[in-house]
Parts: sequence; structure tokens; C-alpha cells
Amino acid sequence: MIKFIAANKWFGAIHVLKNVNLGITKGEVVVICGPSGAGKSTLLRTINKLEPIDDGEIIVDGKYLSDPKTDLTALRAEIGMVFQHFNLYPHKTALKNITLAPRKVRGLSKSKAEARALKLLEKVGLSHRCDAFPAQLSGGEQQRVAIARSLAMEPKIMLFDEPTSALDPELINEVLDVMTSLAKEGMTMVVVTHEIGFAQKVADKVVFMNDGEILEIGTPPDIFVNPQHERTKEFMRSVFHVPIFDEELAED
Amino acid sequence: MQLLDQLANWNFYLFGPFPRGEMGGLFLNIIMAFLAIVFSFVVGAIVGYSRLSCRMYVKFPCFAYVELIRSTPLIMLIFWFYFFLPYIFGSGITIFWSAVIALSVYASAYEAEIVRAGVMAIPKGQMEAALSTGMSRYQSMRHVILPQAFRIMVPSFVSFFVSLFKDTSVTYIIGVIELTQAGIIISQRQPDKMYAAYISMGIGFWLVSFSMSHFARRLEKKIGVFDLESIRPDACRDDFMLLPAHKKDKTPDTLSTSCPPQS
Amino acid sequence: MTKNWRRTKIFELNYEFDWSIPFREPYLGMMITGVKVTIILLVSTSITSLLLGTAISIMRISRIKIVRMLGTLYVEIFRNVPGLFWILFFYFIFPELLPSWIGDKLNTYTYYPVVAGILGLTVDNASYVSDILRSGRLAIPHGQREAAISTGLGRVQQYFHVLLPQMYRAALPPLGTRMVHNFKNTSLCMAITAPELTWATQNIESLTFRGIEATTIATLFYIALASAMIAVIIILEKVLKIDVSGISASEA
Repeated sequence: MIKFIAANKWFGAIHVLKNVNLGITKGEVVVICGPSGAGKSTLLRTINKLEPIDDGEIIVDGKYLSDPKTDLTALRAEIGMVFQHFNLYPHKTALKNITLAPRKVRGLSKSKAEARALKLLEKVGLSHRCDAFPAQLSGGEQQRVAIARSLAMEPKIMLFDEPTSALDPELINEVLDVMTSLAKEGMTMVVVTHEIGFAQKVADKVVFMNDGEILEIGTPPDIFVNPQHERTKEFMRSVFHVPIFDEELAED
Repeated sequence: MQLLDQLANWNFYLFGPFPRGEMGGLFLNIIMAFLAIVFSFVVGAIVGYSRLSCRMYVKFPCFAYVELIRSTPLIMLIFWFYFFLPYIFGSGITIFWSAVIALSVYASAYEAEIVRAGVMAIPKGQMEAALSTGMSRYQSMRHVILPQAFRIMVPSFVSFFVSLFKDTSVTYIIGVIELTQAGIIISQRQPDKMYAAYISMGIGFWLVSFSMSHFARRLEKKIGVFDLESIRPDACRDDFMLLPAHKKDKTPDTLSTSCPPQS
Repeated sequence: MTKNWRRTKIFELNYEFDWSIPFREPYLGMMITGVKVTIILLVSTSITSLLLGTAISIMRISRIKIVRMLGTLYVEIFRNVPGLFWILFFYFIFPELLPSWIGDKLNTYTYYPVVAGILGLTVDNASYVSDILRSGRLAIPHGQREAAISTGLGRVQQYFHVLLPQMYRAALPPLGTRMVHNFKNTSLCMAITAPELTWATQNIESLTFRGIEATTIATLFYIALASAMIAVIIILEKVLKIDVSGISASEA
């Protein structure tokens, strides 16, 4: 579904993506983790070409992103994205936030769009807040509305850019629950997050990035419990403080 | 008795020689300011928006236009148009229209700055969110960015209107019989009413200006003040342009704002 | 008669440009006096309005209620009336209000137009300056004053060493714009026949009916000096490291 072939990107002189090769199949849930500045968000944003790459290829749903004949607007309608800072439209109610794109892009009538929006709001547990403005919603509620907004276009792929990083700790779970149920329904998801618990439960594949390159790819047990690369071990150790490796040390 | 005497010319201050002549007085100040803002709005908005482009050949003319007009005193502009317009339009053009055109050009530069500041204030994430739901650039600008930008611009526009209203007093220099000129005429023809003339002038301007800026302040409280006074934030917003800049690697339709690195 | 003129036709203009006029005596003398007077007005009003504006701004945060009210009253009155009015007022009305021995002297003083212009411009500009300084003061973090008090600085010392410098630093960009506006307003003094640059060009026009050349040169002068002032302010901002990013786009 998504394929990176030797992708490279520079921001001025800084090499932010170094020779990235990655494949994501349909229905897979991929979590990208790693230290700050590793290029995780940049990698995610190249998938719907919010950031272009300077070298290499990205193929999404069979279409080459660098091909000028690719209809980027139509492709973006098939990819949903959820942002760290929600980016809801502050001048529209929750309902209107969700119905805007379906009405303008897919040409749905107002009633059909609203029906779809209400169903999605129910799915994320916010049908009672359909007329609220983003300023009146809590962070977790805003993010759930943002997820509903991206789902309204019935995308094939969902991208999540650190969806819970801007939330209060108590509000994180409501968002993660929505993401978990989405994963169970078989949505192809690429998630950049620090929520290791979520990754362990839901991810099919975990990608560890450092300094612009992918160091390790594996299943959650492979990465979190038994990392191969030195940097991955260091990262997991500092993130977890979990005595996973103590047996190893005790043996020495 | 003497006080009533002093108030005798109130309709001259308010309306000028009307009905025996053209409309004038305080009313004319308000009309001139209003017309100037209306006429200059389209040009000002286009120039302000275009100034955000990353392409030098679009940005520079807009920048030059705004800076040239903002660096020239309003009196100079009025004299320029007063001299030149008769050559272009023939001698039929009245001083009123020369003044209004000069004020419009003056206003368009300031409005360009207001529009620019309003659009710049929209966070980059709004455009990204709109585009990532599959809306085209035009749709995103129309439904997401511009509605927000207008809400932000309104208080600035109102306070600019107040400022422009006060500046219309300068047009008296070419003979327009607005409030300042009315006061001067009275104080010269009827020197005993000189104090009344100046007091009327002062009160006339003060009342209109105070009530409008009061209104503007209430709007600012609702929407939030915007610092229009900053001189040079020079970032360009390629993400807001309808025709984004083409770059060497031929990736035309992207949101990258990495044209000049100081974005 | 020098054969120095060219006949130019632009848009069928029946206007004979004579570019030597502004450079011929006596017109050159008028222009030079104009430049001198404009600069005198600019420098003197900048200084006096800055002083007066600072004074008013300090009055507005005084502990004595009457002083505060006077300050606010000043600003409310002087801001809402155009600067031109004050210039006319100081030239025509002000000498009448004073006792006749002073008033008559002022009226017959040859340079009174310039003095009246300075008074009018100062009074008008000071009201804006005090408003700008007030918002500059509001931008100073409250903790600054607390820090000053806690280190034992007296009230006056607080003002001078902590409050005023920060107030000016924070207010520099809008203050700079206001000073440029003040410079442009010096042209208003032509209304009371102060022999500044705009008056000189109009005088030349009425004497020779060739106003465009002189007006062009005067306009270029205004633009040049205004741009120089703006450049100075930008340099000052860089040197004092003032961040003007209030309007720059930043992610939510």
C-alpha cells in the first residue's frame, strides 16, 4: 500500500531522511518511534506529500508521488491525517468541521454529510457535542473530532502524527481507545507516537528511527523486549526503566 | 444669548454649504473616509495577499507599492493627484474626487498591510488539515483560511477607518469644504465666532472618532488585538498561495514552506 | 534665458517639464530651507513627544487617582482629534488664549509657525506614544516588577532601571512606526505657513506653475528619509534582539 524506496530529504544542509526503505501493506498498523528530531514526523508527512522528498520514490496506493500526473488532491482524499495540535477549524462547529470536506470534495448533500458525521461522532463518543465549537471542547474531545473529520472522507490510510503528545495524561486514553478500535476494524494506520503501551497492544510492525534513518523494524516483542541495535537498546532503556534487560546484566 | 449665537453655524459644520451648495462639513469627512476604504479594498486585499507570495517578481512590486505609499505624507499624495488627475481626466474632475482618489490610494497601502497580517496569523496547521482531507487549495482558502482571516482583520479595519477619518481633515488644503475648512471659513468671515468654530471642529471630530474607536475596542476585546504596527515580518507563505512556487525538483503541489529559509 | 528645458508629452500632457527649476535660485533656497525646517521639526518633535509621551504614560500608572485620570483624559482628548486641528489651534487660537502681552509677541514672532507646528505635533504624537508605551509596559512580565521589589529597589529606581528600559525595548517596533508617521505629519505644518518642504514645493508651484518637478523631488526626499528611519529601526531591533515575530505564522 505504501512503499518507500531509498527516500532522502534535506532541510537546507541537514539530512533529515537518510535512505529510507519501508513497506506497509494493507490493513497493517505501523508504529514509528524514536528520539526527538529523528525525522519520524517528517517521514509521516511525506506520505501525503505535505513535505516532498528530494531523492528516491514513494508509492502510495499504486501511485508514484513524484509523478506530476498524479492527482495529489484526489490522493489526499484517500489518506486521512490526524495532527498533534488537532488543527480543527475554530470558526466551525464540530459537526461542520466534519462535514466540510465530504460536501466540498465528494459533493455529498448536506443531509447525507451530516448523517455520516453524526455516525462518526457517535463512533468516537461525541454525538452529544456536535454543535460545540473547538474552543469549547477539551483536548481529548478535539482530537476525537479531528479523527472523525479524517474518517469522514472514508480514507484507505490513516496517518497519526503524535496524536496524544499535546494532551493531558487523563485524556490520552480516550483517544487511544478510538485508535485501537479503528485498528481492529482493519484500517491501514501509520502512527508516530511515544505511547509504547498502545504500540505493544495494537501494532503489527514497529519502526525505530534515529537521526533520519530507520535502525530497526520488527514486531513489538522484537523491538521492545529484544532490540538488536545498540541505539534501540539505549532508547528503550531510558524510556522504560523496566527491568527487561536486568536478567542480561545479571548474567554477566 | 451669546451661546445660542455661537451655535448658529452648526449646520455649516455638519453639512457644509448644503442645501445651497454641495454637501460638506463633518458629513463629508465621513463619506470621504468611507468611499476611500471601499474603493481601496479590492486593490489593498490583492496587494496584501500577493505580498505573501514566495516569488520575488510577485512579492517585490507589492512591497514597493506599499512602502512607497506608506513613506509619502498624505498631503503629498493629495497634491500629486490634485495636479495629475486633471491632465488625465480633463478639467472636469472635482476636488472632491481628487481627494477621494488620493485617500483611496493611501488607504490601499495600509489595507494591504492589514490583510497581510490577518492572513499571516493563521497557523500553518489549518492549511495542512484542510489539504489532507482532500480539499483543493482554492477550497481550503475559501472555506478555512479566508473566513478566519477576515474575522481577525475586522477590528483592525475599524480602527483604520477611525484613523482615515481623522486624516480626511487634510483634504481641506485643496479646498474641499469639510469640517476643518468649514471651521476656518467661519473663523475668518466671522472672527467673533472663532472660538466657537474651533470648538465645533474639535467636538465634531472627537465625537465621531471616539465613538468609532470605542466600537473598535469592543471588537478587539472579542477578537483579540493584532499588532499592525510591526514593521517588517517578512515571511512568505507559499502554503497560502493558489499557485505555489515551482521548485527545482519539480514537486509542484506541496506544502513545503522552505522557499527562503527564514519562514 | 538658458535653453535648459525639454518639451515632454506624457498621456497627451501639455506640460513642459523644466527640471532645472528646483535647482535654480531662489527656488533652490526655498527647497533647502524646506529640508532644514522639516528636519528641525522632525528632530524636535521626536524628542519632545517622546518625553511627553513617557510622562503621560507614567502618569497613567500613578498611585494618585487624579493623576491617573488626567493622563487618561489627555490621551482620550488628543487621540481622537486629528493632528492638523492641533497645529491650527496652536497657531491661531493659542496666542489668543494667553494674556495679551505674551500672545502679541507670539503672533509677531517670525518663527512662530514653526513653534506652533512643534507644539501641535508634539501634543498629538505624545498621545499615541503614551498608548504605545502602555502596551509595551503590559508586555513586560509581571515578574519583573516583583523581582525589582524583592531586591529592595525603591519605586523611582524601579522605574528607571527596570521598567523604562524594558518598556522601550518591547515597544520599539510600534514606536518606530509612530515616529515615521510623525515625520510624515511634519508636512501638515505647511497649513500654517511653516516654511517646511511641502510648503516650499507648493510655493514654487504657485510662483512658477511648474509644481511637478519640485513635488517629485520633495516626494523622493520624504521616501528616502522615511526609508532611512525604518532601516535604523530594523537595525536597532536586530542589535537589541527584539523579536518581531508577533505576526509571523507559527504552528498552533
